[in-house]
Amino acid sequence: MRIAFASGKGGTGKTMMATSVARVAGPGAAYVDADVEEPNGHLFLHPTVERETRFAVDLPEPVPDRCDGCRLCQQHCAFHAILVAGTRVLVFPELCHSCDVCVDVCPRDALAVGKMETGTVRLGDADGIFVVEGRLDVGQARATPLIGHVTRAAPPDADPVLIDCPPGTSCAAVSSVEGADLVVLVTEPTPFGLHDLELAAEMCRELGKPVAAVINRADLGDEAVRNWLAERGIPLLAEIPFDRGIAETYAAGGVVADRSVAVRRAAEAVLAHARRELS
Amino acid sequence: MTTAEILAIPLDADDRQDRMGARFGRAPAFLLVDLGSGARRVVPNPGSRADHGAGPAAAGIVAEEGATVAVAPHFGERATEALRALGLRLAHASAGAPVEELIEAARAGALPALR
Repeated sequence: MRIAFASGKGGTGKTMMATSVARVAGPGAAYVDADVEEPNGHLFLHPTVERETRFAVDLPEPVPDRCDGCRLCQQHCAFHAILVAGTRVLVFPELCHSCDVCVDVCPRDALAVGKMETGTVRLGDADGIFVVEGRLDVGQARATPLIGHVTRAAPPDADPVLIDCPPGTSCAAVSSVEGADLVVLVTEPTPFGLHDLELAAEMCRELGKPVAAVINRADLGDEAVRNWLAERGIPLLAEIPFDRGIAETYAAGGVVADRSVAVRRAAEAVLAHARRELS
Repeated sequence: MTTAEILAIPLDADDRQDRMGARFGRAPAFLLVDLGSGARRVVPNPGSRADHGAGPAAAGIVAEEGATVAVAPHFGERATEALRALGLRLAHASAGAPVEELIEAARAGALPALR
């Protein structure tokens, strides 16, 4: 059972919910930090890192003295990542999408599949919770291969797998929910919250993912989010009130479900819904 | 300057050929001027709306069209690398500069080179 915690808007409580559901699910669960541009789940779960590996993507590597300047590679590259100057092949790593088509089309084997490191994967343990973290290297623009990798890096017997997604609806968000059986959209009852919830729900619809919602800071704002969820038939699993104690626990680096009854109940409601829907 | 020189000038629109545009990689079209014969032609830049990689794509296009010198108010990092690798020289002039003045300056060897 793989549950992704996503939201259009940032700062709605994805990490709070994902870490809390991990705590409530207990030993055997896996928490995956797929927000590789700013992974922060470790600040709350405090895992002991057991293994750290570097992650690399394919990058074409010119083989000296083989290019005859035919430019087939340049013509086939959809991302303008290759330019042939005479018989010299120029590769622009930040534009490359690692499709290897240039290597495949070259009739003279003038390009080989090389590797470019883009980030680090950490595997650890937090009181029996398996913790996976992807961390993109500073300056790297392409997050999706690393995100895809970490969402598959939990042990096969880990259950449930809780994926903490990056905000938004970009490629990074898409690749983080792609392997999920259920997407929990964490939102707040404000016009911004609703606007970005609509985008995130639309993304999940396109991907064919079932969704459910949790409203955080539920006693602020207005009724528009609740009404919208009801209209769409999206199950509202829990409402978490605004509470200074939650902010204090979070700021101190704690798992909020350990301190807040409302958040613990919300996490239990998420698990119960997922078990009901996915069993 | 030798007769084989061809100057590439980015345009802001393909029907606006009297002034240089503000951008190189994302220019919608380039004006190519043979400094020897004075012959001119406009080539479209299909990469101008690419998500990424407009610079290298534009460099490839002007090089393929035979340009030997490129002038622009600014070249992106990758466009610069690509143009240099393709053997073009880079020159600088302000956005909106009159094309006639650029051609005259290039013929006189007075376009400030970018290093």
